[in-house]
Amino acid sequence: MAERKKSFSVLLNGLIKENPTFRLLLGMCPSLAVTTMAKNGLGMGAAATFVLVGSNLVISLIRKIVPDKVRIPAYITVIATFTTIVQLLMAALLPEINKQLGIFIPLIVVNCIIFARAEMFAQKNGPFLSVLDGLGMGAGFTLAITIIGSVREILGAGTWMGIPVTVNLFEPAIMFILPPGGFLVMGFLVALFNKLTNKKDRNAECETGCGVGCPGCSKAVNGGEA
Amino acid sequence: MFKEIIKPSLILFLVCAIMTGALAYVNSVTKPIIDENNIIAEQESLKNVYNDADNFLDAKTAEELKSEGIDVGDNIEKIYTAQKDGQSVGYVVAVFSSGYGGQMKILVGIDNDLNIEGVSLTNHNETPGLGANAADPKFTDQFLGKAPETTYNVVKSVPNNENEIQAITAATVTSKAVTKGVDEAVALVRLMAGGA
Repeated sequence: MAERKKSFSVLLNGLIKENPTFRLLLGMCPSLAVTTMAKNGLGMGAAATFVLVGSNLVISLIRKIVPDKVRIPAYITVIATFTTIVQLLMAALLPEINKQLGIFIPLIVVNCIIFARAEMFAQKNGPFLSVLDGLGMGAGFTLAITIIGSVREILGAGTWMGIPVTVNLFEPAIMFILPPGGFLVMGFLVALFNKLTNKKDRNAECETGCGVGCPGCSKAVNGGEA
Repeated sequence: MFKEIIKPSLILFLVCAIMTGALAYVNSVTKPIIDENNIIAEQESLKNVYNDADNFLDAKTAEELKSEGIDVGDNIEKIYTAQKDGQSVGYVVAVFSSGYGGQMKILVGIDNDLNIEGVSLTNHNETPGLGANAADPKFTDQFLGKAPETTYNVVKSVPNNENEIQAITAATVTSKAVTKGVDEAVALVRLMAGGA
């Protein structure tokens, strides 16, 4: 029973409490760059989730065999392999979305969410929990960038998933699909997310030395931003 | 010695070897599909600018044309011959031009009588909502019809003459770049079609 409860909380962790984009502030580069449309956010999120689950699984399987010394090159090799696989699959099956996301698919290799989860979670946990962590974190990332994409697309282009929704209620403000709009929307959403999540919970987390997920505490995370 | 150097190297080597194997397998499965996708996408983009044609011959690159003694503009990438019922009816020219956001690629369909059949931007980095509107038929359809004797003129008001193209508001650089690309394509086809 306790085991089941733990798996569940690992899965949910990435969605809200340690949402990679809104709470851990990891992977800012794709979160700002590809979120001009809701559809791009969804595609990018799905690709990153695939890489996260795959690399978490393999890394947790080989964590006891790989010596500490060559840990980082070995993990990067695993992550790069899954990224290339996802790129090939998207080019074969979803050429349209692949064209839209362009350079950001290969850049998943240096997306620090993936490496941070490898170092902080998969290296210390078994394959089952690591896969759940990958799924949860991936879902949290997908949710976050799809929300950012939706807000920017609706305000900036008057459409959602390419369908016109504002019916000329207001003139779309192009700025929202340009880079400044990305920063603005991101800032407001992080503020809103912090307001909505439990305040008590946040304080408790900080007393115990920032919990496991705080990006400032892990030596591996800081160098990894794309 | 073994524990410090050889063992880590061996394990890293093994990890790389296994991952390379996995990649080679995925590549062998997806490569034919990707190649086919690219061919379909190319044919579709050609059809897009030359709806009348039913077949496009393999493209000739700018270098091949130069070696045949044809004076090719600097920005021409390649030229396809468009066929209908087995007869050559015109050309599709792929040309590069420098827009506001860097290089863009333009396809121009032109028949043997120098009528523009279609213009499309296949690759560009123009600002969404401004320069990117140049890919819109509202802009590119202005080129359709007989190509001018000299070159197109970009104007900022409603065009009076056949050879005038109305620039997109707040995107004059992009509008001029597309127009320059079309001009170059017309110049090449004028040469190829024997000065018709």
